[in-house]
Amino acid sequence: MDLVAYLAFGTLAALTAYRAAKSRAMPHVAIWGAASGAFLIAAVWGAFRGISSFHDFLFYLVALVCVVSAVRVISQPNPVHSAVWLVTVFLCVSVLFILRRAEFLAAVQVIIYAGAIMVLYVFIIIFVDVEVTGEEPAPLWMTASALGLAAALLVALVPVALSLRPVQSAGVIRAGYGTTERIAEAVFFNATAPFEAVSLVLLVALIGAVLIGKAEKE
Amino acid sequence: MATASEYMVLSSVLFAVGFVGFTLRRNILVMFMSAELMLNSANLNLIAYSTEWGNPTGQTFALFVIAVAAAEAAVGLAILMLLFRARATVSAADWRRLKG
Repeated sequence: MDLVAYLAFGTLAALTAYRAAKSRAMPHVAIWGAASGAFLIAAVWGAFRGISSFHDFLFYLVALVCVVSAVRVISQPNPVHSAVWLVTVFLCVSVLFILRRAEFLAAVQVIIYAGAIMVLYVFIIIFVDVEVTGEEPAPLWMTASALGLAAALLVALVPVALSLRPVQSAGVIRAGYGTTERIAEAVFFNATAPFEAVSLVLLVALIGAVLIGKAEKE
Repeated sequence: MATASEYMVLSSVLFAVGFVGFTLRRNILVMFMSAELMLNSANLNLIAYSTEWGNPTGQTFALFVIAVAAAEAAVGLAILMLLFRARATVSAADWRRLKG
């Protein structure tokens, strides 16, 4: 099973290297080459140092891609580009879910977030069809206070996160932990009332969206 | 295996990025996308600690968060369409009078 993962990454490394060799423009060569190098390192690392260390490497790689894409989401002037980068973030989060043994949630993440919700966004972007004119930048005091608040948030949260001790029971999770079966057990045996409430919320949101979005008759 | 602490650091960074996007961008669509970023960072944290404790309740909760995010996107984008129909703009700056 582990071998399949290393082989898959080796194949990805070869494919991206081929793509880099075929590219003309220098930035494309650099991007595809970097991707190829990352895949190659992941495959070799995994083959020599074992699956746990492979997971670690994958975590750092995906976390890096995730943060870079998130920054691109908020820095693109064109909302369509933002949407595409947001899909990248969702796929990265889904990979992190798999690394964390939440396979069902990873599938839900891809189907609902990267699929349904992003299609909704892209439809709306098509519908509103605004010209992409660089929006006026936020005033300086606003930029400063937003960045300051975000920095304060990180200063408050990161030390707390790093000071948390790992739980003793970590690593002894049951087989088939994140499968549909176990999640269904958890949802339908222990959280029946919240599940019904959430389905009601979805129904109301659906009706509300139709009512709000309906074109008014003159 | 990366520890839950590292997942929490990543989720804090994602949340901060989403927060900055939500406050600084004027395009309502991108503001919604930043909100999705923040919801995803919360989900990441829930999943990381769910596995840490070996308790699937966190995954159940993340599932509910995804459902509520879908509802939020549907209603929010419907309101955006309504606003766009009234005045052809998606910039929050053009809707300052909604402050009252």
